[in-house]
Amino acid sequence: MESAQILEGTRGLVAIPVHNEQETLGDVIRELRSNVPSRSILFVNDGSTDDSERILRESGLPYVTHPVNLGYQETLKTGIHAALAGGSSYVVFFDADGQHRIEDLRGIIELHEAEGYDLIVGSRYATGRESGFSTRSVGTWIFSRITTLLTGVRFTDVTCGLKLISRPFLDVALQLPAEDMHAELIVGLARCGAVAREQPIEVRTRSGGHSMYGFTRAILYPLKTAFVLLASIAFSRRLSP
Amino acid sequence: MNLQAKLIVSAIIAVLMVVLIRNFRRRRISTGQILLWTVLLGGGEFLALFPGVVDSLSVLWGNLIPVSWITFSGLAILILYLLHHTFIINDLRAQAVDLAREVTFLEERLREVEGSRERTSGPDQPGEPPDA
Repeated sequence: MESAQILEGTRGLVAIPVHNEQETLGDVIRELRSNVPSRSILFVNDGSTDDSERILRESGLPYVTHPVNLGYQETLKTGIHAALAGGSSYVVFFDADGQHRIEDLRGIIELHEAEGYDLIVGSRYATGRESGFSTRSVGTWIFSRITTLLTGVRFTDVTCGLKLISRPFLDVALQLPAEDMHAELIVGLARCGAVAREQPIEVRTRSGGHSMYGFTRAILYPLKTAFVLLASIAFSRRLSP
Repeated sequence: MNLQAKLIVSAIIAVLMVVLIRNFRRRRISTGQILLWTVLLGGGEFLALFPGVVDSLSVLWGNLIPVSWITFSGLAILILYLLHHTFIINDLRAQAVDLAREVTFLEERLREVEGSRERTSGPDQPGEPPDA
């Protein structure tokens, strides 16, 4: 067994946002437990109404629970607050829906350790796109192109949940206007001086639960993100790590 | 504006004031809010009693029809009031999120403390006073 090797000897934190993920949470817990030291894991349960909290409690791994559902952005921010309070040198967000692979988590952390990037974002499309059309894939493509233009760094999948932020930029990430901490976060941090890049990853097919991008959200997301992207560009001038 | 119209407007404003004062006494409306409403309703009552002021103000604003001036002013006040409430709601939301996060971390700390207490002394027996 490859036990607890990924963050051994570093002071990073893997924060896992959880909202009604009872179907996939058990597998994610097993995978993380055997690869990451438990002190470097924090599940952030965003007021789940299913059995997620019971599963977390019984796992014995560190977790916190929002008393009410605060939304994805606030869940990530709770992870950042925990990383700051615990003195972590970086935080990596890892989805609880079972789509992210431990190998890719390892790759992102090793890249940060070796090259010192401040922001690393996983990309499902770095090596090419799958054929097929969906509202989300078009939105991802458009915002990835905009992010590439604004940062000068090639991004192909700005909506990926697997991302690493280094400590100097955690405070900035908390202050930037954000919707889901995707394109706007990348642009905002890059404008504040963060050295960013994307890292090719593979994702598994979702085996359970529901995507947070339902029909209404799929329509509102581009509007909100476009607006908050502009706000992020405006506000990032005043922020520095 | 004839006497009948003045009486109707004054009666409506009086009823609204009574509703506001009753809710203020039950602490369902803040001092700042009731002050704002009193100023607005007082202004309305003043204009109802002295409609000539509306005519003069309409002329000052560029010969607007008095009814248009009242509609425009009413809409402007409503928009400002909505804006004021938007700021309040946003502040309250931010405070609620901060409090929820505070509770989140306090609960985690409580779990840790209870866990370490149970590990060192074992769980309390029913009927026993808790450890000091």
